Amino acid sequence: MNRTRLFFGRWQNWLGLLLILVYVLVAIAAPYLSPDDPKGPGPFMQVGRPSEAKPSPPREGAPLGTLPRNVDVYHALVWGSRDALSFGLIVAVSTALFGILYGAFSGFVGGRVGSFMIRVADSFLAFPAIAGLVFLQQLYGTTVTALGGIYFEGQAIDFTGPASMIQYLLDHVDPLMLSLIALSWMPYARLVNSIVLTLKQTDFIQASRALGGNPFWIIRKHLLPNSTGPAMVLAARDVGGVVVFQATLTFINIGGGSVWGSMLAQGRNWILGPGGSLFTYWWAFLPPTLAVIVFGVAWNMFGDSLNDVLVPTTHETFRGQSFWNRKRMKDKTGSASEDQLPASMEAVLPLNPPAPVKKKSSVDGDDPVLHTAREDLSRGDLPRALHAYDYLIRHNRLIEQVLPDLAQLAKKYPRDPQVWQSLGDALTRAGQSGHATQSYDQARKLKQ
Amino acid sequence: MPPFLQFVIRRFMALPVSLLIITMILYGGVMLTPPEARASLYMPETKRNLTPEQIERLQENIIERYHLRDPYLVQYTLWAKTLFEGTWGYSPTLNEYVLPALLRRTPATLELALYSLLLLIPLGLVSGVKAGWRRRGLFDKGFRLLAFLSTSTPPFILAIVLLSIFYINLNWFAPGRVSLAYRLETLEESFIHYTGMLTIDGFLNGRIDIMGDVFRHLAMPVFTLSIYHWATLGRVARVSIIGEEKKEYVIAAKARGIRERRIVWRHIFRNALTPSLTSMTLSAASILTGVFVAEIIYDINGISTIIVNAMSGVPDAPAALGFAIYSVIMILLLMFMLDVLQAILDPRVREGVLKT
Repeated sequence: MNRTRLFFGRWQNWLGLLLILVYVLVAIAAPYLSPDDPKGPGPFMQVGRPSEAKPSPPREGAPLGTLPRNVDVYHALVWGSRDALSFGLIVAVSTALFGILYGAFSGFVGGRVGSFMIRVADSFLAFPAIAGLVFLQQLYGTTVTALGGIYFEGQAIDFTGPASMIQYLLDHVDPLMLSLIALSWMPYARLVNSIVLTLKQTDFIQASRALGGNPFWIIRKHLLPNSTGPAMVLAARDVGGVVVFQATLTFINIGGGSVWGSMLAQGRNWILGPGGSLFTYWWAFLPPTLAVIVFGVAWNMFGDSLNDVLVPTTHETFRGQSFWNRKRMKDKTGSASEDQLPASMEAVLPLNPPAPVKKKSSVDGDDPVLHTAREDLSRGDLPRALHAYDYLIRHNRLIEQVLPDLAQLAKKYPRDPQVWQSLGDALTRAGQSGHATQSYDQARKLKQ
Repeated sequence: MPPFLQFVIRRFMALPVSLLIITMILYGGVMLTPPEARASLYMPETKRNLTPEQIERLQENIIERYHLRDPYLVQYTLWAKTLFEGTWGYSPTLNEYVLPALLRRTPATLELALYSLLLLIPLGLVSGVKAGWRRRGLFDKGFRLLAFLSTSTPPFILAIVLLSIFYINLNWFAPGRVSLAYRLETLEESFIHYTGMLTIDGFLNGRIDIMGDVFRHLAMPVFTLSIYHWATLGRVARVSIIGEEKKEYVIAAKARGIRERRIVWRHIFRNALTPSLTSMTLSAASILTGVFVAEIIYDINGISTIIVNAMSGVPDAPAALGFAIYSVIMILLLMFMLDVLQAILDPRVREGVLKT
């Protein structure tokens, strides 16, 4: 099982998963870890007089101390992880689903409609989620007041007017959730779109189209399975990202309803104790801070590990069956689109670890054919060396090693058409058809 | 026409299209509300002096006049026209028209965004390239650790920690935009507002002390903003450098005996720019969101005060809508500037060889 080995090969991978499991367990076991107060259910449980202004240290009944007004830190922390997980997962999964479908559809349709759809997605990139949230909430409030109700702190009070669309929508969905879903699907769409666009040119899709496959069947059966890997990586990172964002908005009092963010807002005046010590009232801000930070880091790490397993460019295990390699060989459009895909990938996946080439190079040194080729060269036997290189190129082996060798040869023997010919072959294999054509031209000129 | 100018014009022409799409979607959101609520977008300033019956009549008048019961496209067209006419509706929480309120607060936001970008773009590119060139080296390890730390600390948490250490405890830096004494001086007639950005105006008026005071207030928000995006940008730059050293042009340059430093900064650096700046363009919205969050936490009177007001008072649809449109315009302009910067630095972009 290569995937499992790959996954557990790096300590960051299983650490991320482990941390997430901790959050999941805490979220599931919340009613047992910290039973709800039957008088006032909810994440903020009061364990004492609400008039207390100072946060009090850990004690019996409040294992992590309290915030001002005697709000139990432990209880809020435990129940907050339930909120955070469900919020993050719902947002990330619905965002990913919508983005993937949008991208797959626009890529499959292609042409003018497809590029218009991507145009629309690009326009969404210019819309900040914070503005979307405020906009939705204000529309709701305006509706309530215009119909004779009272709107106070995000709630409609005393309002029994005729139902409108926005009311129906926001009564069922959290406005922040809605605006995040509406405003963060674009990376998925762009990603899947570009993958589908290149996949469409491959033989197996062409074949199933020629066989009369239903377009939706082709999307579902061939295009989606091939493009969900990178999208899942994005989604895993998004879970952490949206929860941090939610906490941010709650902290600055724009909405969102994050428990951890609200804890930080309640404890923010107690970060610094007398004498400038950060640790006098540590329980007032450290637990929620750590909860938010570790949550984000864990999902990021998990995303990285999914990237190791699911995105085949980053390692060599999937050589021969991955779409990337297939594309590299089949790509006839030249190096422009070749560059474009990984670059845009990097743009959406800034954490993408670099391709580990270390393991491969140790194998390459032992490759007998490459070895002979280099030995022949050192003896000055150019034709034999070229023969060996041609063998490697023909079998698509070690092109990364062959290419620089040949490039240097071409500089050393610029008047030998055979060298240019082989260089052209190697460049074709590497997908750089533009440069390959130049080499072939050079070879032809020299032969004449 | 030179290709660069062609590129700039072509890119600029794309802005109205995006704006059209977004405003259509925004008005689609407005359409979710009943006509009575939509009327608040056109409510005049005098509303507060009216009796409830008069307001109802006014509402009915507005609904008639702006065809608020008609199909979407009719309403959208009428509304879009009012966008060009200039006031963007009267905001009850600000007690003024939305567009002037936005424009008046722009320089403060712009100042913050400008200094952050000026700090983070060169730093991100240079450190990313340096780390990527000597991969697994000491600098790279340090860079990756720092980048990891700064991307995993949410900016608002960094902000509260900075505030409690450097403001409450040490009092080196301060929140707000400018100290009160200097604020009063900037309101005097002798202080000429050339740009509205107090650092530049302070310099132009010969008041270095005001400039210094504004920088003292800018230090924390600028640091908070840049450190996060610095790490993201640096990572992209680092990844795009890795693998370049095996490319033929680098081998050729080495064969020609060019010094390594020159190869990195003259040859490889430019190739790393395109993906890095593209990633900046894609995250322009999150940069501006970061600016808003920093403004709110550090209590800077920029355009995000408009939403803070709107959230705390009576419902204010014109302000929220105006804020949304205005921030979209700002992001589009930021994307445009980044694209132009990319075209200046990378000839492949302006000649259309690379499709971005």
